[in-house]
Amino acid sequence: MFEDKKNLTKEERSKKKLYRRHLFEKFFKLFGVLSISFALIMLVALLFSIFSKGYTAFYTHYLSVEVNFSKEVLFDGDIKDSYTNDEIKNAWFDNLIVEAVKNSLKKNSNLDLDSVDLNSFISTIEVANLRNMLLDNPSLLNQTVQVDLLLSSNIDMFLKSYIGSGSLLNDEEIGAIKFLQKSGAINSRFNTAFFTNSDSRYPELAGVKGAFLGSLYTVVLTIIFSVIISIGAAVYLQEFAPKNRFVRFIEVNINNLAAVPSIVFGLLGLIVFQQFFGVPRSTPLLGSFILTLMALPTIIIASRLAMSSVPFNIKEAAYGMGSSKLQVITHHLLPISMPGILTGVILSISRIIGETAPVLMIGMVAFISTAPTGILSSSVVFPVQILLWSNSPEAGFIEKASAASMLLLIFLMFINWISIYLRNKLEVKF
Amino acid sequence: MSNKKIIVENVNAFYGAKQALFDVNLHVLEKEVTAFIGPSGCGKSTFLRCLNRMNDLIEIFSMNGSITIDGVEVNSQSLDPVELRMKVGMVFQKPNPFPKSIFENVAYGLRIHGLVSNKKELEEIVKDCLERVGLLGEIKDRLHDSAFGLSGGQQQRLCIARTIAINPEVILMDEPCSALDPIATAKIENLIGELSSKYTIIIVTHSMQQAARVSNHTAFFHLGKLVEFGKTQDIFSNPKDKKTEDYITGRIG
Repeated sequence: MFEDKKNLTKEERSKKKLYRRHLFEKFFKLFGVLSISFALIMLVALLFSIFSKGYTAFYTHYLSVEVNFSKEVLFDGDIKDSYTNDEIKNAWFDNLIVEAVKNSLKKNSNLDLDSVDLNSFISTIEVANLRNMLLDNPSLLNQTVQVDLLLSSNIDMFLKSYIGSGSLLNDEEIGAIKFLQKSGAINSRFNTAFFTNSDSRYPELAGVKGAFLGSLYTVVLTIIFSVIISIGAAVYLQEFAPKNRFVRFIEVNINNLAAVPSIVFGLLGLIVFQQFFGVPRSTPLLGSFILTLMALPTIIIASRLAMSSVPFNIKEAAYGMGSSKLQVITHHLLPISMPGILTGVILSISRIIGETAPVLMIGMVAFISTAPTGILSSSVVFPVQILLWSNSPEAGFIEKASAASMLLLIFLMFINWISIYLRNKLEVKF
Repeated sequence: MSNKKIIVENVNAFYGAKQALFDVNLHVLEKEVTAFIGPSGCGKSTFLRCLNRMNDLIEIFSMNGSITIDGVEVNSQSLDPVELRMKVGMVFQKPNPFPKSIFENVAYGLRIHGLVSNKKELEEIVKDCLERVGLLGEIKDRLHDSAFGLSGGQQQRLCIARTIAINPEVILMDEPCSALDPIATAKIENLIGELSSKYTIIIVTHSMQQAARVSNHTAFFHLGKLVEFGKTQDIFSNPKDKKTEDYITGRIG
């Protein structure tokens, strides 16, 4: 095989080889740079698409109008000196809003107001707001007040120049919005409802509170269950278990468990926890049981690794001082391996926070418009809320889905930061 | 003539199928320093660890024969190794302080065995132990700093302080100076001399000079067998066995 090189001297041959070695090295470096660039570009693209779509969800538009609580409009001509609370509750507040918007548009005589669907301009929540305002203060009757009314999502999305949002409005309506905008009646504000509300049928009222609390309950319960169980398992396997065939079988299968698809855990949870043990469906408790199963293998593996890297001479010193086995474990083994255990906990928690499939199986996917009040009330979790919103046709929900993704990312970064901080703080240097 | 503190009869020890000790018989006198010498792998550390059952940590280890301390059989099932190790303290080859403060290192044994009733007593005993190993003056202001900030020699003296804090009757030292420089070694050797008035000390060492300097009795091990045991000066000046002579003159080992 060296025939073609027969006429070369040793030096020439080695020089040629050296050149080829350097060439390969350059290729390899180039390949590495390309790989890193690809990963970075994808990351930037992901963040850009989420942020560019999502940031608009953090503000929303209001229409500033003069509302005249006229008895004529409210009670459809039934004019009296005073009204009972029941009568006020049943009054025509939606007509009041239509009148108010119409009045502010009338200053522009070019518009054909008949073809403008004034009902769809303002969010339905304002009916309730105005009703409560009047119930609190009945003397407002026949008075005119200046109020800011929340615009409906369609109008809001048009104002945010969302692609395709104009097709839902006719030319007269677009003209009306542009007129209101020009006259300075429309103002934008921070969208507090996005943080204080739960899910809603109306995009302008939908918020992440329910999903946030649902995720929080689920994750906190999962951490508690999984840490207790997996540290127990890891300590037993590492320190107490006899080294026989059965224990090795268990060890291998813990590793296998880490590779089980999450939907299978969902199925297991549905059958075992929900149907057999009767844990109520859609609840954070049931969700945390399933996610605990998913978190266990990762934490057990990380904990055992951390414990096995505790120097033997520390254990020896502790035994030499007359510590019992449990004292060696609680005084030395666990504190020293805590950073490693934490790493496992954080890895699995970051994974389960974003986990959708298993919680879909147990019904944490329903439309739930109230925030959960405890671990036994129905709720959704963050990633499922994103899924629900991104499946909705309304542009307002797509925007909310992106914004919720942003919050989830920020939440994860926050958790990772805490973990790195804790790990550095607890680290023992030898 | 001192009492026989430890009596060892016909001890054989095994790592799995490999025999590490063959029929060891000896006795250790109370409040004396006994040195175990011999080439690497001769079983002297294995034997030392039999005395406080540290070999229990090694799963494949097994032994037979009898070791009694004050007439109590060390290997009996009824004796709790925790109790035994309270009576028989140990200092290891490589300084191994706990990753805690200097104070906590010494206080640890007192705490786990419940030997002190209040904080003041604890502080007194800790300071007294550090004083006895000559460490208190050097680290007075760093009492609550990490023990890893100390030099190797200081760490080893800290380990000795930690051991004497629980007031054992016997102290086993497994090559305590092998990781230290000559000055630190001299300090530890002086300390061993002082401690021998209160404790029975057994020291494993590679250095024959060290054995000659610190010990009253010396046992020479070779290939798992106890070759010769007697007064240190006899062993070094007038060895009975050819192997002992070869070892101390540097021909084997």
